[in-house]
Amino acid sequence: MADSAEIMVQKNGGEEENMAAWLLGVNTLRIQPYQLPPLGPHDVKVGIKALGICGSDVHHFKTMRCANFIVKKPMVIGHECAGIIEAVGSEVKNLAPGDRVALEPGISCSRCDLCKNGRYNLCSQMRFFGSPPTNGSLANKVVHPASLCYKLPENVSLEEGAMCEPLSVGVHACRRAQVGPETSVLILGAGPIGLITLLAARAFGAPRVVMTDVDESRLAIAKSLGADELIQVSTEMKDASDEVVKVQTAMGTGIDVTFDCVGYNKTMTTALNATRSGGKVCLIGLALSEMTVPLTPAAAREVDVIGIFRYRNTWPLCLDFLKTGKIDVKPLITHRFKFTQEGVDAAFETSARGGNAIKVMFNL
Amino acid sequence: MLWAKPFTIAASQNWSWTCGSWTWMWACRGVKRPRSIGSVAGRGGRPRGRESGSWCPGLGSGPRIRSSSRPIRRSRLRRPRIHSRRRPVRRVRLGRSRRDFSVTMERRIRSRPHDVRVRMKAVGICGSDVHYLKTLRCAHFVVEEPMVIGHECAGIVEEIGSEVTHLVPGDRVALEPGISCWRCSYCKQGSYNLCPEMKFFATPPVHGSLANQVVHPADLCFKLPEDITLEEGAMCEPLSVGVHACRRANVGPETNVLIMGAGPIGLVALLAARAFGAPRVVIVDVDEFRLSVAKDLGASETVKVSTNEEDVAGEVELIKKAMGESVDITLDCAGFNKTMTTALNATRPGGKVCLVGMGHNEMTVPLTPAAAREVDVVGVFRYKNTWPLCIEFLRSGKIDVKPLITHRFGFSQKEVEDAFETSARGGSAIKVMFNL
Repeated sequence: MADSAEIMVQKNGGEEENMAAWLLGVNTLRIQPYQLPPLGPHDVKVGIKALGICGSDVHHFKTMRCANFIVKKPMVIGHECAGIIEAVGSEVKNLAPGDRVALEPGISCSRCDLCKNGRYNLCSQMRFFGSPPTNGSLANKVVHPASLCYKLPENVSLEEGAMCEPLSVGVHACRRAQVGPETSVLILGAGPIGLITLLAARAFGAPRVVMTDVDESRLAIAKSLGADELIQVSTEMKDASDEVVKVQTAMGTGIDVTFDCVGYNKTMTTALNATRSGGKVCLIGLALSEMTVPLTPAAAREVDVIGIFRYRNTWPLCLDFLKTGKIDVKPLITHRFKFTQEGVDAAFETSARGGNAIKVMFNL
Repeated sequence: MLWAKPFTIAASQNWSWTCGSWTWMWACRGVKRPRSIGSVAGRGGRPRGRESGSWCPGLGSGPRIRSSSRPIRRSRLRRPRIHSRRRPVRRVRLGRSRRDFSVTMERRIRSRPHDVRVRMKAVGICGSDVHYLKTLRCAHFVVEEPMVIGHECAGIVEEIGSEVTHLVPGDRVALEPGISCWRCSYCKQGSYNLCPEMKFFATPPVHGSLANQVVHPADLCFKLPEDITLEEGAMCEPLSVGVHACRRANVGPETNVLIMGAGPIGLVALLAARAFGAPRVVIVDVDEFRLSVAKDLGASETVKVSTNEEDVAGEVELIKKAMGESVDITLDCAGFNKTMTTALNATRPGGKVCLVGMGHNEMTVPLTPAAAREVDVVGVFRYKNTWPLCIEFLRSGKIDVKPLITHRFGFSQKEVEDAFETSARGGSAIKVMFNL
């Protein structure tokens, strides 16, 4: 199929046809036309320029579902994005065509109790890019509320703008777990989420960060990104108690906050046992439906379990971290692909493979 | 087992309550002294921590209060004082095997400058006490030496240490059981309930308070207002668990509360939640009688549930209907897989589940879906800084604990045994209280 960038169909008064990557079935993504809704007074039309692939996108791709979200009809994939404003609605004051923006994917209802209390990430009416049935943003253009588009500082690239989305998960987790200059942090899992959590924890001032993973190459990346100590662990449950001792020894002091960026029985068991009394375990990785963990001994030491669902009110902080250099996400972008059929297929295979692929980015 | 024969009531008062006492007793009966006596055994062995003399008055480094004006004989000064002519003190301690305990005699306890000597008047039995009696352990605390039982107590001050200013003999006080070290970072930050050096009544190896008298730090003895009885004072201890849980879970005038389990702890949690202003409290249990008690104590609705895991989904629906609105906070006062599963599924996104009950070590629960709705799991361990608030709740009438005291016993061998059997039986027995 020809490169979508070369298809310029003269329609609707000379506008190019908008193309998007549609998820049609298991392992089936096709670049096809995507008709946008009309531009509302508070909306903007954004030409997407950079888009990253998330683990949930891969999950949708491989299984047509992710937790309770099931893909029942064709859906545009992708949600970690940034682009350039092409048109603004009549009521939009703070953005103009030409502005480079990062997009926060989820549109909440703004009317329910959760939204009005500021916890809009939990809104039951949330429409989120790439969570069925809402179309995603791996497309030439999307229409999106202006209030969810954040202008990029001059020194922050569009790719870094797209990285604000995964970074927001780490920032939200650090906020919920109250990471600060006095909290020593343990991170289980050095995948993309573990690594951005490392960057966020450092930016929040965590004095010491220990990371674990089964994969040595990922631990090496963590080291280069500033982790203090790395521990290679196994997938065997019987090694859990030894590993608890190892991480506690590596930390030196009590472990105040543990981020489980994997979400298996073993990692959660390690987290609950390794964290000091009165500390917090933040469950970020969403792997299993039911878990078997030593919850009672942890509860009896007042180790709390904090849940994380996406993020809220994080873009301004992420952009500030990127602008000031407190966080540098560029090393996480390991692979880049163009927005063509071959590019899309190869990109998803690369991302699914894991290993040395951390963040796979589309340049549109 | 370490001990060959059961203990019996020993009539002599010829020892202090350090390891010397056991040596005497064993020598008397011709049984070899167990190896653990006198050595550091179990968790911490001989009590340490702040002013260890509080627990080993004969060994501490502070001044001793002499109640007699007789001059000390020179011959006495050279050897440890182990004889006392005064009336012996009776205590209840766990004996040899799991079901055996007896009343033994001990020397009167001496006070220390910041301590008071309290004559016990009311002591309640807790589930953990029953657990120790039945199994000689509770979670990872193991009874390795004979130990005095009991910790939910109140009494009358008889003697005060030289530095005590806020209490006088005759004051009626409720006792907070745990002595923390006051030096570690937990203590200094106010989370003294998590102190690793905590010395807690009847948590081995520390002796409890089901005794005629105990010596205790004055700052852990809280004066009772005139209209609060000693039994209500003893109830401050279990009530504190409910109060601490409500604080940790942020119960308030806007939080609808679900309580799993209408046992003693579920019921004090209900009382505490109401006192904290919870607008609606729904309580569930398998036992109809306990649910009726809960209804009398002010539960908005009660739901009878089963012990079958398959019934969870249906029960979550029933609970939501009973609440009418969303469940903001759930206090799991049972602590089983099923109750925790129900709690995690029934609580609204962004809500909290407080795990109070300690049922299983490992639990199999739908943790991830709950975490993905930001339902947090909050743990509780005992309590901190709760006695003043409990006493205020009792004084103002915001909480009435009297209906929870269902059985009363005196302090004799037979009654001690009956009391523990009654408490262990559960059912209509909610709080079993000793009156000394």
